[in-house]
Amino acid sequence: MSEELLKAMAQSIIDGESEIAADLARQAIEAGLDPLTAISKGFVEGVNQVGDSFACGDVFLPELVMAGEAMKAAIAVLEPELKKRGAAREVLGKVVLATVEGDIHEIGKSLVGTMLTASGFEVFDLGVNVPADQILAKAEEVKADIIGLSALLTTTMVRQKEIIEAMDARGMRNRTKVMIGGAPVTSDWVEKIKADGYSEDAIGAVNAAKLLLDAPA
Amino acid sequence: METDLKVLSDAEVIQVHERSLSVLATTGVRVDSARARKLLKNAGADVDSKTRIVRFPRALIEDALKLAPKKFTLGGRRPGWEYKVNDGKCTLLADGAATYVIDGLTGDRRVAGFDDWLDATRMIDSLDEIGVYWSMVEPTFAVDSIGDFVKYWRNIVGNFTKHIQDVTHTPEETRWMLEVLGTVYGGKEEVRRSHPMSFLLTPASPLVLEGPHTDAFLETAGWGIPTAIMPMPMMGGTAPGSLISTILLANCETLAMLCLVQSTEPGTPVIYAPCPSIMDPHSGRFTGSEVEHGLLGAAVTEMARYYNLPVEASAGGSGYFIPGARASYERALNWAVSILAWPDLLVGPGQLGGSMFLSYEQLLIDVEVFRRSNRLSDGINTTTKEWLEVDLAAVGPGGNFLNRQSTRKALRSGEVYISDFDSNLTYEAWVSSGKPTLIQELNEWAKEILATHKPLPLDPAVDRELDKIEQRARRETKPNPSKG
Repeated sequence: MSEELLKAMAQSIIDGESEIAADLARQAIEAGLDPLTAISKGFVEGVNQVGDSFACGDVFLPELVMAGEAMKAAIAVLEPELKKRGAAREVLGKVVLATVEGDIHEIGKSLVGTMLTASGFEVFDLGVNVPADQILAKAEEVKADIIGLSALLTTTMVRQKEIIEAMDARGMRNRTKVMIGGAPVTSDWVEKIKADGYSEDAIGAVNAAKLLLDAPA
Repeated sequence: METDLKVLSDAEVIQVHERSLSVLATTGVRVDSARARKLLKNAGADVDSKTRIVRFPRALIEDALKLAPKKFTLGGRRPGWEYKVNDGKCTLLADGAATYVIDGLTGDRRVAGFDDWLDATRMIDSLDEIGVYWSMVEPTFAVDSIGDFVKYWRNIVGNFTKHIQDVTHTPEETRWMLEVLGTVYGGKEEVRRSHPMSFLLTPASPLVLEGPHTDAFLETAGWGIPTAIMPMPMMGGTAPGSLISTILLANCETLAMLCLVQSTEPGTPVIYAPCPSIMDPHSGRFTGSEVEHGLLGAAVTEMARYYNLPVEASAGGSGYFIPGARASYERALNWAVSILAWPDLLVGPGQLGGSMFLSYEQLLIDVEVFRRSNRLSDGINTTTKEWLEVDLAAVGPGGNFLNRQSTRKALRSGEVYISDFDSNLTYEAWVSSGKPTLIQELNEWAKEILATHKPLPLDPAVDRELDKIEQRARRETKPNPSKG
């Protein structure tokens, strides 16, 4: 029974079926299955398979995103049960994510959030057009390991620099790393503003985040 | 007849329009500028100030479409240069905002700087097929202060002598830009008359008119600056997952902005310029490689023709990083299909890597693709004198037509497009000249243009005046708060 359930869990992720994934998570709880087992032997198997296929070019980005969304739906059901049992899933790190002030472009930032969540990070997505103070306050509140800053416009990229300078002023850089992204962001810009990490796409962002935290790739 | 391609039937075009009216009346558009919301409310739109959602009644949209002029000219500084829209011609508009320049010989890229911007601007000034400026590399050097912004504009008008299309990001920038335009082109009334600059307005997909960007345009009121309205919905990303729904969304966003433009200053010239695109399914980015961009560029043109508005069509680009075979077949197919629908302006040559890399070699290839596509548009001439039955009778069975005046005339009159790219070398001659590749030849050609082309200089008195404006901008303004 549980073997079949675990397979169905993996399949729900591969199919990007959030409602089915959440239902299976509920079934697992009702059947008394350890939530950590459901995650690691069931849903994560699906995430890994989709991730591998994406890396080979066999899975497209929207399918990857839907797999990530399904994973989130399953975790949302399992997390309270985990807490009830005094257990916690392994979190690779806490990431505060935002598109900087003056910029309302969301899609790249949200993709990164979904991919990080699906890969085991705890993500606090503050949305778009977020003032620096709000980002830094949230990072301090949750003791973030990483702040991720997105900017699509060359006119708003400079906010990334300002936030890094503000982090320097607050003495936050030892505790919290900064990743930046956005179409116009170049490796030169990363170097110039002394960011810690950067990627040209959402999958690369997961690897960059893992590198920053010395997590296994 | 001239070749005329259609990718949407008349009934489908009307459907796009009617469905757009329905979306704009029900779902509406979020308008982040308070000034814009007020203008739209006064014009008859239904405005929810809490959610900032604006819904557009049919009459408002149809009136706005009537108010937009159907024929006008785009001006430039070059004596005698003007471009009539809705006049059966097509010119190129430089593609832009690359952050890198790619070396076509080595495949190495470097971050673009001021000198690259200057070179690219002079290069497009030299090419007759490119009628309209857009910044080919991202002018990040222009963003540190208003003084730098004015310097950027001094350099545009000094190095590009045809029509300029650009954008500002704040009302303050707009005011300084207008002062530069007035100084260079003979005052506000002359700017109103000759349209030396058009303003690119870009609604954010899906269905948002941004605040600061919209306010920056509204500041041009009174100057009659034409606006090209270019939402960029990306199928599967910022637009739903079909080509026709992406076209529908692009049309909705364009019509919404058109209503605002006509509510601000009735009669403002508008260029219908939506740029629907397709999300790269692997990375989620725009690459422009997909062949369907040709269909999208043609569809946009057909929608504009339905409204009788001039059109600036975009037809993708290339996701590949270096100039050559792949980028060129992608460009050739996408552009040929788009140009056969007859846009006024076509975006844009010279960019690779999803418009993040500038390539001079590809720029020259793209101009060649444009020339060839234009020739396809011109079609087959079937006027009486072209049938040449007299020649056929004179030569008769078994002869040839090498010595006929009609043959000579055909080769000199454009009946057959003769390309500068066509090599007249024999194979042996090509081998003995070192087997040069096209990219090597174009690399040399680009260098030669950059070494020799000198844009028409500004009148020294105008240049002195611009210098005063720049110095005043540096004295009177702080570092640009929007840009740091």
